[in-house]
Amino acid sequence: MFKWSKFFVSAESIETYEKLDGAKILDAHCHIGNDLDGHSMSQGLLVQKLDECGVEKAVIFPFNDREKQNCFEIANDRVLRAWREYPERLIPFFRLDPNSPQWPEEFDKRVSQGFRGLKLHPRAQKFDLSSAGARRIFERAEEADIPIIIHTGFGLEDSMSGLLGSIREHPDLRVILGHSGFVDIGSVIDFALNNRNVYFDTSVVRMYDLFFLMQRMDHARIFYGSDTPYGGMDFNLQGILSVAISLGFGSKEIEAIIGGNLERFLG
Amino acid sequence: MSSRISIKSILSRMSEKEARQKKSVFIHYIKIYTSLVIAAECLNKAQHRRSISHLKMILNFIQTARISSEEAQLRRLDELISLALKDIRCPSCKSANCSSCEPRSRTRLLLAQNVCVLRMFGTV
Repeated sequence: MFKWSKFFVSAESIETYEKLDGAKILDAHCHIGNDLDGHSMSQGLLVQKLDECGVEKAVIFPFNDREKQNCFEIANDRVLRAWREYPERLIPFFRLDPNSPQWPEEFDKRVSQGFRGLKLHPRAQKFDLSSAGARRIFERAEEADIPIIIHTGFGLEDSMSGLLGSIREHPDLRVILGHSGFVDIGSVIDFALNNRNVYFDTSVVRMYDLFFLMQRMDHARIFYGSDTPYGGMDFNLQGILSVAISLGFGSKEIEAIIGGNLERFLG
Repeated sequence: MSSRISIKSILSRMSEKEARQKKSVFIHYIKIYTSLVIAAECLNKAQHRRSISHLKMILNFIQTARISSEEAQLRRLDELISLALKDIRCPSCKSANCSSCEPRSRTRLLLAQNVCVLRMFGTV
């Protein structure tokens, strides 16, 4: 729940902050498990962070986990356990590797278990977003109405056109661009203006790109995200608030970005 | 009448002092931000030493800066930059088998830049 006293508030924006008091905050981008790079996050620690920052719920999915054999089976199981432990606080997404022959099996298993979406990371899993494997996953997700969150941050500078081409072929597939595609934000926004199935998560986005995004894009398609444990939950929230207020957003629009939009998106 | 004048002059001196402090904080963050941008641009195999020296310079600057109002943010910057340095010096990157350290350090530098931008917002 939003508490305005937790944020840096300038005198002229105090009224907007006060109106936000009690608003629901949902985080669209958090990791659970153990990354190859040494980062780790348990469900207990994540929920503690959610409490500290007043975040009600968070979308969780595996890191580029040390145990990624069988198409992230162990890592996805870990997310399942976390969700079962905190069903009111965590929203499970599973992770797939299009290069793994097991992905169709893993996809069906996780959908039947009630996972709400899936995560793809082209840089970590070394695949192209316009590859046959990725396209087949898009097709399956579109059929099953499972949203996909895709890493579109560092390392994807040359791959955005491939992704946009693939999205165009699947108009009913709901795609969340993790990090808002900031590596090629101009093209991504132009594309999204004509493709209503594209959404944006604001985790680890340059502040001036966040300005650009929030200025040009319908606010209903923007979700607050933190990329915990890499990004700071409270700090990213402060970034959104500062940008939104300086752009003249009212409390209703801000409330939607920090939680309402994602809640509606996930039904 | 005379007491009114003196209150006015005190207030004016106070706001001058506040404006000076804000300006000084702003300059500190501009300095850090500029070096962070250069360090991020040099994050490639050919120039990574330059990136390291810029980051060390910022760390030194942060550690010696005495701005009590900014202590928490400077601590956050210190942490982010130290972690970025650790990633840049990752020994397995030298064997070219490591593909995650460079993007990871870019991410940390981006977050550090965002801290600076937000604080500049707060001080202008």
